[in-house]
Amino acid sequence: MNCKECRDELRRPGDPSAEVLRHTASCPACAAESRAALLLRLGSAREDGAEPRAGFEERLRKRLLSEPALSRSPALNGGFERMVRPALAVAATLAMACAGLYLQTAPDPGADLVSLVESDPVFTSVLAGDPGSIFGEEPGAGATAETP
Amino acid sequence: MVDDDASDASLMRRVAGGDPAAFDVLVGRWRNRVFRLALRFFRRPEDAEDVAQEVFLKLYRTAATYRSEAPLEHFLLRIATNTCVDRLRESARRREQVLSAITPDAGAWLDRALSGTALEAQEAEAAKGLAAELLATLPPKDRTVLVLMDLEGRTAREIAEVMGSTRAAVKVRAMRARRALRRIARRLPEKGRS
Repeated sequence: MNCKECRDELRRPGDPSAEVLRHTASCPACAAESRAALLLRLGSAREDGAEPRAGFEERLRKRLLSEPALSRSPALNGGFERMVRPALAVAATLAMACAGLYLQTAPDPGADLVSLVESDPVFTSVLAGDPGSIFGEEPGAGATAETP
Repeated sequence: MVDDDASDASLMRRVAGGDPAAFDVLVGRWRNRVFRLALRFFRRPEDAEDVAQEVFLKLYRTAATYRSEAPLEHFLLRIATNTCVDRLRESARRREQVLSAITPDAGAWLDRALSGTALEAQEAEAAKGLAAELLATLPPKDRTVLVLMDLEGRTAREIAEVMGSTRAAVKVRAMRARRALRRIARRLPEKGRS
């Protein structure tokens, strides 16, 4: 085994073969490489069948719900295109339809103004050319009292 | 109802539409692999689990950006490596501080472990802890490249795609990290004697 083959094997997952061990025993450069590789393996060691603790999904779901930005996620993670925009379009159409319907069925606002003017005594007296009613005087009384 | 055999791509489309059941199926399918990758960087299972959960939260948030032409594994691996790199940055250690804090016992145990000598369980555990501390002194991206390449068996091309880098840059990072590890390993015998 040459140095390149030795180093290639050291960089592959799994334990080093007997051939690699023999080579590193006689080659200081590859021995240093082997120690570095072992340092990496030791520091990154984990059990092969390791699994998260029971209840991982439940804890994840709680975190998902506790983050307000996430509970609204469809609107944030591109759902805007898919959900919010069509919803806004529907709402706008409904609002326009309601407004049109109201304008068609609502009573004429001008009619109310006419009835107010006709029934109000102040308006009636002003329109009749007697502004004294504005000050609470009897119709025609103001004109006679101010006569010298 | 969500079909357990549904493809990752179809499940991701449903997740993007806000379907929690589809998300549950994806979590069940990938949680062990994500957790085991996180364990490579974080020794305490609670920390690795926390990282794994963060990865899935990010997956949920970014589901709409997933394009089904690429395998979900790559998309998930990208999120996982970015999350690990971010966390490693938060807990980065200065090499000289770690090296100066090594006790003679721990230094000697790790030195013997690196020489291939069998250790007692307690010594082996201490050697692993020290090795993890020493790895924490590597730049996070360099360490991630080395773990993905040498322990997870990923190619430089795959890692470049996942990390948004080039093959050449990945190889340079791996080379730099191995050189740093050789230097650290070379200094251990003196630490074991002091």
